Amino acid sequence: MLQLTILLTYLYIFSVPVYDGRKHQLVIPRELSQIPDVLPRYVGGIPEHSLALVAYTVNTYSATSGPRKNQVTANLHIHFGVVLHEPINESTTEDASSDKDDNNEE
Amino acid sequence: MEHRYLKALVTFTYNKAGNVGNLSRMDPSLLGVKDANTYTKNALYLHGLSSSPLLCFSLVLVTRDNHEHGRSFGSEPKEWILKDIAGVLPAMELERFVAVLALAYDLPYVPNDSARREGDLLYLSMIDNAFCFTTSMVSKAGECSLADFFLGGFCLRLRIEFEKAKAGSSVKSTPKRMNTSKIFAPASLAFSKAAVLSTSARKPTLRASETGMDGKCYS
Repeated sequence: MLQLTILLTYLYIFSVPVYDGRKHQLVIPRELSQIPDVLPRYVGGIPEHSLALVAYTVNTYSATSGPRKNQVTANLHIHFGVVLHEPINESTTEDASSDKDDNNEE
Repeated sequence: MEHRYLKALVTFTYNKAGNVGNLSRMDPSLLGVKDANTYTKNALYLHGLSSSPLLCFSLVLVTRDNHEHGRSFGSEPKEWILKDIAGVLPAMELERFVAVLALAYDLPYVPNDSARREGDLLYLSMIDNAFCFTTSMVSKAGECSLADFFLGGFCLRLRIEFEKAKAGSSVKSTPKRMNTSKIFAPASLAFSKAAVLSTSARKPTLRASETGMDGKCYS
Protein backbone atom coordinates (compact mmCIF):
# COMPACT_ATOMS: atom_id res chain seq x y z
CA MET A 1 0.00 0.00 0.00
CA LEU A 2 2.86 2.35 0.87
CA GLN A 3 4.53 1.57 -2.44
CA LEU A 4 1.30 2.33 -4.29
CA THR A 5 0.98 5.64 -2.42
CA ILE A 6 4.54 6.56 -3.37
CA LEU A 7 3.88 5.63 -6.98
CA LEU A 8 0.68 7.69 -7.12
CA THR A 9 2.47 10.64 -5.50
CA TYR A 10 5.20 10.29 -8.10
CA LEU A 11 2.68 10.24 -10.94
CA TYR A 12 0.86 13.26 -9.48
CA ILE A 13 4.05 15.31 -9.21
CA PHE A 14 5.61 14.28 -12.46
CA SER A 15 2.77 13.85 -14.96
CA VAL A 16 1.40 16.81 -16.91
CA PRO A 17 -2.16 16.25 -18.10
CA VAL A 18 -3.20 18.21 -21.18
CA TYR A 19 -6.86 18.79 -21.95
CA ASP A 20 -8.61 19.40 -25.24
CA GLY A 21 -10.32 22.79 -25.27
CA ARG A 22 -10.73 23.07 -29.03
CA LYS A 23 -14.40 22.17 -29.17
CA HIS A 24 -15.69 23.26 -25.79
CA GLN A 25 -15.60 26.92 -24.73
CA LEU A 26 -15.00 27.30 -21.01
CA VAL A 27 -17.30 29.46 -18.91
CA ILE A 28 -14.93 32.02 -17.42
CA PRO A 29 -14.14 32.18 -14.55
CA ARG A 30 -16.40 29.45 -13.15
CA GLU A 31 -15.06 26.51 -15.18
CA LEU A 32 -11.38 27.43 -14.86
CA SER A 33 -11.21 25.66 -11.52
CA GLN A 34 -13.06 22.60 -12.90
CA ILE A 35 -11.15 21.98 -16.12
CA PRO A 36 -10.23 18.33 -15.39
CA ASP A 37 -13.93 17.56 -14.89
CA VAL A 38 -15.14 19.53 -17.89
CA LEU A 39 -12.70 18.85 -20.73
CA PRO A 40 -11.55 15.59 -22.31
CA ARG A 41 -7.85 14.68 -22.40
CA TYR A 42 -5.73 15.77 -25.34
CA VAL A 43 -3.89 12.85 -26.88
CA GLY A 44 -0.34 13.26 -28.20
CA GLY A 45 2.14 16.09 -28.29
CA ILE A 46 1.08 19.70 -28.65
CA PRO A 47 2.04 21.03 -32.10
CA GLU A 48 4.33 24.03 -32.30
CA HIS A 49 2.55 27.42 -32.49
CA SER A 50 -0.60 26.08 -30.87
CA LEU A 51 -2.55 28.40 -28.61
CA ALA A 52 -2.70 26.95 -25.13
CA LEU A 53 -3.67 27.83 -21.61
CA VAL A 54 -1.21 26.74 -18.94
CA ALA A 55 -2.08 26.34 -15.28
CA TYR A 56 0.83 26.71 -12.88
CA THR A 57 1.88 27.81 -9.44
CA VAL A 58 4.73 30.23 -8.79
CA ASN A 59 7.40 30.05 -6.16
CA THR A 60 11.01 31.10 -5.83
CA TYR A 61 14.16 29.43 -4.63
CA SER A 62 17.82 30.31 -4.27
CA ALA A 63 20.45 28.00 -5.70
CA THR A 64 22.70 26.60 -2.97
CA SER A 65 25.62 26.02 -5.34
CA GLY A 66 26.78 26.73 -8.86
CA PRO A 67 27.41 30.00 -10.72
CA ARG A 68 24.13 31.54 -9.52
CA LYS A 69 24.51 30.74 -5.86
CA ASN A 70 22.09 32.66 -3.60
CA GLN A 71 20.36 34.30 -6.57
CA VAL A 72 16.59 34.15 -6.61
CA THR A 73 14.95 32.15 -9.39
CA ALA A 74 11.21 32.04 -10.00
CA ASN A 75 9.86 28.60 -10.77
CA LEU A 76 6.69 28.23 -12.86
CA HIS A 77 5.51 24.80 -11.78
CA ILE A 78 3.07 23.46 -14.34
CA HIS A 79 -0.05 21.60 -13.22
CA PHE A 80 -1.87 21.07 -16.50
CA GLY A 81 -2.38 22.56 -19.95
CA VAL A 82 -5.34 23.16 -22.24
CA VAL A 83 -4.99 23.22 -26.02
CA LEU A 84 -7.32 25.91 -27.35
CA HIS A 85 -6.34 26.07 -31.00
CA GLU A 86 -4.00 24.17 -33.29
CA PRO A 87 -2.27 25.75 -36.28
CA ILE A 88 -3.67 24.73 -39.63
CA ASN A 89 -1.35 22.30 -41.36
CA GLU A 90 0.10 24.17 -44.33
CA SER A 91 0.88 21.04 -46.35
CA THR A 92 -2.75 19.87 -46.32
CA THR A 93 -4.06 23.31 -47.32
CA GLU A 94 -1.50 23.49 -50.13
CA ASP A 95 -2.58 20.05 -51.34
CA ALA A 96 -6.22 21.07 -51.21
CA SER A 97 -5.57 24.29 -53.15
CA SER A 98 -3.48 22.45 -55.77
CA ASP A 99 -6.28 19.91 -56.18
CA LYS A 100 -8.70 22.76 -56.78
CA ASP A 101 -6.40 24.29 -59.39
CA ASP A 102 -6.09 20.93 -61.14
CA ASN A 103 -9.86 20.59 -61.28
CA ASN A 104 -10.23 24.10 -62.67
CA GLU A 105 -7.68 23.40 -65.39
CA GLU A 106 -9.55 20.29 -66.44
CA MET B 1 -12.18 30.66 -32.11
CA GLU B 2 -14.50 33.51 -31.16
CA HIS B 3 -12.88 36.86 -30.44
CA ARG B 4 -15.12 37.33 -27.42
CA TYR B 5 -13.92 34.04 -25.90
CA LEU B 6 -10.29 34.90 -26.56
CA LYS B 7 -10.78 38.32 -24.99
CA ALA B 8 -12.39 36.75 -21.93
CA LEU B 9 -9.40 34.41 -21.54
CA VAL B 10 -6.86 37.21 -21.87
CA THR B 11 -8.62 39.71 -19.62
CA PHE B 12 -9.57 37.27 -16.87
CA THR B 13 -8.25 38.65 -13.57
CA TYR B 14 -8.92 36.27 -10.68
CA ASN B 15 -11.57 34.21 -8.99
CA LYS B 16 -11.39 33.84 -5.25
CA ALA B 17 -13.90 30.99 -5.06
CA GLY B 18 -11.83 28.85 -7.42
CA ASN B 19 -8.45 30.13 -6.13
CA VAL B 20 -7.37 30.89 -9.71
CA GLY B 21 -5.84 34.01 -11.20
CA ASN B 22 -4.10 35.59 -14.16
CA LEU B 23 -0.78 37.15 -13.14
CA SER B 24 -0.80 39.44 -16.17
CA ARG B 25 -4.06 41.06 -15.15
CA MET B 26 -4.54 40.86 -11.42
CA ASP B 27 -3.76 43.46 -8.80
CA PRO B 28 -0.40 42.57 -7.15
CA SER B 29 -1.63 43.90 -3.82
CA LEU B 30 -3.93 40.88 -3.67
CA LEU B 31 -0.98 38.51 -3.72
CA GLY B 32 0.99 37.24 -0.77
CA VAL B 33 4.14 35.15 -0.49
CA LYS B 34 4.08 32.08 1.73
CA ASP B 35 6.89 31.60 4.16
CA ALA B 36 5.64 29.23 6.81
CA ASN B 37 5.63 25.74 5.38
CA THR B 38 8.82 24.52 3.75
CA TYR B 39 7.02 22.60 0.98
CA THR B 40 5.15 25.65 -0.31
CA LYS B 41 7.76 28.18 0.77
CA ASN B 42 7.76 31.39 -1.29
CA ALA B 43 4.67 30.30 -3.24
CA LEU B 44 2.24 33.00 -4.31
CA TYR B 45 -1.22 32.91 -2.76
CA LEU B 46 -4.34 35.01 -2.91
CA HIS B 47 -4.94 37.09 0.23
CA GLY B 48 -7.44 35.34 2.45
CA LEU B 49 -6.60 31.94 0.96
CA SER B 50 -3.16 31.36 2.41
CA SER B 51 -3.72 27.62 2.90
CA SER B 52 -3.07 26.77 -0.75
CA PRO B 53 -1.00 28.37 -3.52
CA LEU B 54 -2.74 30.35 -6.23
CA LEU B 55 -3.31 28.45 -9.47
CA CYS B 56 -2.24 30.87 -12.19
CA PHE B 57 -3.43 30.77 -15.80
CA SER B 58 -1.61 32.23 -18.79
CA LEU B 59 -2.39 32.16 -22.46
CA VAL B 60 0.70 31.17 -24.45
CA LEU B 61 1.81 30.32 -27.94
CA VAL B 62 3.50 26.95 -27.56
CA THR B 63 7.06 26.80 -28.90
CA ARG B 64 8.20 23.49 -27.45
CA ASP B 65 6.37 20.63 -25.83
CA ASN B 66 7.98 17.97 -23.66
CA HIS B 67 5.00 17.07 -21.51
CA GLU B 68 4.90 13.45 -22.63
CA HIS B 69 8.44 12.11 -22.44
CA GLY B 70 10.33 14.96 -20.79
CA ARG B 71 13.90 16.17 -21.19
CA SER B 72 16.96 14.77 -19.46
CA PHE B 73 20.04 16.52 -18.13
CA GLY B 74 23.41 15.33 -16.93
CA SER B 75 24.81 11.87 -17.35
CA GLU B 76 24.77 8.59 -15.46
CA PRO B 77 24.63 8.13 -12.53
CA LYS B 78 23.43 11.70 -11.92
CA GLU B 79 20.90 11.99 -14.72
CA TRP B 80 17.84 14.16 -14.18
CA ILE B 81 14.59 14.44 -16.03
CA LEU B 82 11.84 17.05 -16.17
CA LYS B 83 8.72 17.62 -18.23
CA ASP B 84 7.84 21.03 -19.55
CA ILE B 85 5.86 23.14 -21.96
CA ALA B 86 7.57 26.26 -23.30
CA GLY B 87 5.43 29.12 -24.52
CA VAL B 88 5.55 32.79 -25.44
CA LEU B 89 3.20 35.21 -23.75
CA PRO B 90 1.64 38.00 -25.82
CA ALA B 91 3.83 41.14 -25.59
CA MET B 92 1.57 43.21 -23.37
CA GLU B 93 0.77 40.26 -21.12
CA LEU B 94 4.49 39.58 -20.70
CA GLU B 95 5.18 43.12 -19.50
CA ARG B 96 2.31 42.98 -17.04
CA PHE B 97 3.36 39.51 -15.86
CA VAL B 98 6.90 40.68 -15.06
CA ALA B 99 5.64 43.80 -13.29
CA VAL B 100 3.14 41.88 -11.14
CA LEU B 101 5.69 39.20 -10.27
CA ALA B 102 8.29 41.80 -9.24
CA LEU B 103 5.77 43.70 -7.11
CA ALA B 104 4.45 40.52 -5.49
CA TYR B 105 7.96 39.47 -4.47
CA ASP B 106 8.81 43.04 -3.48
CA LEU B 107 11.87 43.31 -5.69
CA PRO B 108 13.76 46.60 -5.75
CA TYR B 109 13.97 48.79 -8.84
CA VAL B 110 16.98 47.69 -10.85
CA PRO B 111 18.44 50.07 -13.45
CA ASN B 112 19.50 48.35 -16.65
CA ASP B 113 23.08 49.64 -16.53
CA SER B 114 26.38 48.94 -14.80
CA ALA B 115 24.97 50.05 -11.44
CA ARG B 116 22.75 47.01 -11.15
CA ARG B 117 23.61 44.16 -8.81
CA GLU B 118 23.13 40.56 -9.84
CA GLY B 119 21.67 39.75 -6.44
CA ASP B 120 18.72 42.08 -7.06
CA LEU B 121 17.64 40.28 -10.23
CA LEU B 122 14.95 37.67 -10.47
CA TYR B 123 15.77 34.79 -12.79
CA LEU B 124 13.22 32.86 -14.80
CA SER B 125 13.62 29.58 -16.60
CA MET B 126 13.42 30.25 -20.34
CA ILE B 127 14.14 28.68 -23.72
CA ASP B 128 14.95 31.48 -26.17
CA ASN B 129 12.21 34.01 -25.49
CA ALA B 130 9.68 31.47 -24.20
CA PHE B 131 8.87 30.79 -20.59
CA CYS B 132 9.40 27.25 -19.38
CA PHE B 133 6.52 25.81 -17.40
CA THR B 134 8.13 22.80 -15.79
CA THR B 135 7.54 19.98 -13.36
CA SER B 136 9.98 19.25 -10.57
CA MET B 137 13.24 17.74 -11.71
CA VAL B 138 13.57 14.13 -10.64
CA SER B 139 16.31 11.58 -10.86
CA LYS B 140 16.27 9.35 -13.91
CA ALA B 141 16.61 6.42 -11.51
CA GLY B 142 13.20 7.34 -10.12
CA GLU B 143 11.53 7.52 -13.49
CA CYS B 144 8.77 5.06 -14.14
CA SER B 145 5.76 4.97 -16.39
CA LEU B 146 2.22 3.81 -16.19
CA ALA B 147 3.14 1.10 -18.67
CA ASP B 148 5.68 -0.28 -16.21
CA PHE B 149 3.13 -0.11 -13.44
CA PHE B 150 0.43 -1.97 -15.33
CA LEU B 151 2.89 -4.47 -16.79
CA GLY B 152 4.20 -5.04 -13.27
CA GLY B 153 0.69 -5.55 -11.92
CA PHE B 154 -0.09 -7.95 -14.77
CA CYS B 155 3.07 -9.98 -14.05
CA LEU B 156 2.23 -10.10 -10.33
CA ARG B 157 -1.24 -11.38 -11.10
CA LEU B 158 0.14 -14.02 -13.44
CA ARG B 159 2.60 -15.08 -10.76
CA ILE B 160 -0.13 -15.37 -8.13
CA GLU B 161 -2.26 -17.43 -10.51
CA PHE B 162 0.74 -19.64 -11.24
CA GLU B 163 1.52 -20.08 -7.52
CA LYS B 164 -2.12 -20.85 -6.83
CA ALA B 165 -2.19 -23.46 -9.56
CA LYS B 166 1.05 -24.96 -8.22
CA ALA B 167 -0.19 -25.04 -4.62
CA GLY B 168 -3.56 -26.49 -5.57
CA SER B 169 -6.97 -25.07 -6.25
CA SER B 170 -7.88 -24.45 -2.58
CA VAL B 171 -6.75 -21.05 -1.29
CA LYS B 172 -7.18 -22.20 2.31
CA SER B 173 -4.46 -24.80 1.93
CA THR B 174 -1.87 -22.06 1.26
CA PRO B 175 0.03 -20.95 4.38
CA LYS B 176 -0.71 -17.35 5.43
CA ARG B 177 2.92 -16.23 5.44
CA MET B 178 3.37 -17.35 1.85
CA ASN B 179 0.40 -15.26 0.74
CA THR B 180 1.71 -12.18 2.48
CA SER B 181 5.11 -12.39 0.88
CA LYS B 182 3.52 -12.70 -2.53
CA ILE B 183 1.34 -9.63 -2.12
CA PHE B 184 4.14 -7.41 -0.85
CA ALA B 185 6.76 -8.66 -3.28
CA PRO B 186 7.84 -5.95 -5.75
CA ALA B 187 5.69 -6.34 -8.81
CA SER B 188 8.13 -4.71 -11.13
CA LEU B 189 11.11 -2.44 -11.36
CA ALA B 190 8.69 0.46 -11.20
CA PHE B 191 7.98 -0.10 -7.50
CA SER B 192 11.59 -0.15 -6.47
CA LYS B 193 12.32 2.90 -8.60
CA ALA B 194 9.42 4.78 -7.07
CA ALA B 195 10.66 3.97 -3.61
CA VAL B 196 14.04 5.48 -4.43
CA LEU B 197 12.32 8.67 -5.49
CA SER B 198 10.63 9.30 -2.18
CA THR B 199 13.53 10.86 -0.30
CA SER B 200 17.04 11.20 -1.55
CA ALA B 201 16.56 11.12 -5.30
CA ARG B 202 14.75 14.43 -5.60
CA LYS B 203 17.06 17.36 -5.59
CA PRO B 204 15.10 20.58 -6.06
CA THR B 205 18.18 22.79 -5.96
CA LEU B 206 19.57 21.32 -9.17
CA ARG B 207 17.31 23.10 -11.55
CA ALA B 208 17.52 25.82 -14.11
CA SER B 209 20.45 27.49 -12.44
CA GLU B 210 22.67 24.53 -13.16
CA THR B 211 21.37 23.80 -16.63
CA GLY B 212 22.25 27.13 -18.17
CA MET B 213 18.76 27.82 -19.52
CA ASP B 214 17.87 30.76 -17.32
CA GLY B 215 16.59 34.09 -18.49
CA LYS B 216 16.97 37.27 -16.54
CA CYS B 217 14.02 39.31 -15.49
CA TYR B 218 14.68 42.95 -14.76
CA SER B 219 12.31 44.69 -12.44
